[in-house]
Amino acid sequence: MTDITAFPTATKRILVHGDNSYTFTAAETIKAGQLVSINSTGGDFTVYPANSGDSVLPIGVADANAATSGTLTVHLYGTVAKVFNIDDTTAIEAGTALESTTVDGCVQAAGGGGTEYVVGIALEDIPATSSSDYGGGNMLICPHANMIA
Amino acid sequence: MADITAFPTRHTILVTDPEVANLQTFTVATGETVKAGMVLEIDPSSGDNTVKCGDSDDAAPVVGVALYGATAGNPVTVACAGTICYVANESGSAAIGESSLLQLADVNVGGAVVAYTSGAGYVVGVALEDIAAGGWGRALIMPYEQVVS
Repeated sequence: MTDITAFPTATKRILVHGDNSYTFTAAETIKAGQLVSINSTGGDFTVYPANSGDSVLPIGVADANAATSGTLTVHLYGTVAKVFNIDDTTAIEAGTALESTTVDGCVQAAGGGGTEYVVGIALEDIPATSSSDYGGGNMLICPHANMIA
Repeated sequence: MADITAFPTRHTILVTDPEVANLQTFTVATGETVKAGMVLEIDPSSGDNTVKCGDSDDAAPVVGVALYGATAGNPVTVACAGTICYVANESGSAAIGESSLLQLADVNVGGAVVAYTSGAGYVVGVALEDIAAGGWGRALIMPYEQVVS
């Protein structure tokens, strides 16, 4: 397994199903398809790309690119959206719980130990970044944290 | 830290536009008097499809937030997972920071929330803005049982 170092550019529509979305403000540059979390210092309704190192639960998936201080639509609980695999060689199997990663906005399979900030469930295989059909994979957004002592 | 002694009054609870999002709400009976904005849990002692004020001491799962007040035996509409609602801070002296996970408060003031810290509990959702001491704030409702393994 080799991790990508930067979030890829989405080539497909992010929202797959549902209409539970809301408008937030970007605390920093955000790319379409990135998992986002609420920013504790950025002001009300402000989001930034989710990163597992921040220990903050992601709330949803960005619909489009946004510049710092710009507004963006975030797809929330119950919707299905495209998300992007941190791994550039190995797909994530359908049915896997997905969590944030050390690369902003990407997903990986949960279950690596420690507290997991699960953002949803893969509804199909999430292709590896190097895959020829790479364009992200469908995830049902249902965030929750798993506390593993 | 002093807790509030009575649940505050608020008339507008639902933030998300019901005409835009296909919001998850349902109407059930309440087993006791509830006020608008109270977090609700299932009330098995009062019969099927009955809810009551959420209380961490009950160890019962959260179902959502009351959109209106109702007296015992009458219907109440509940905003469920995926909605954005105003919730009340149980603490009369300490604000809850945005991005905090929220959980049910104890029996002192049923239906209010406190910041989740650690251990098992019933999470209500995520604060989308700071929630002032004794005040109201908007939260993304995403109930789940926090299990520590």
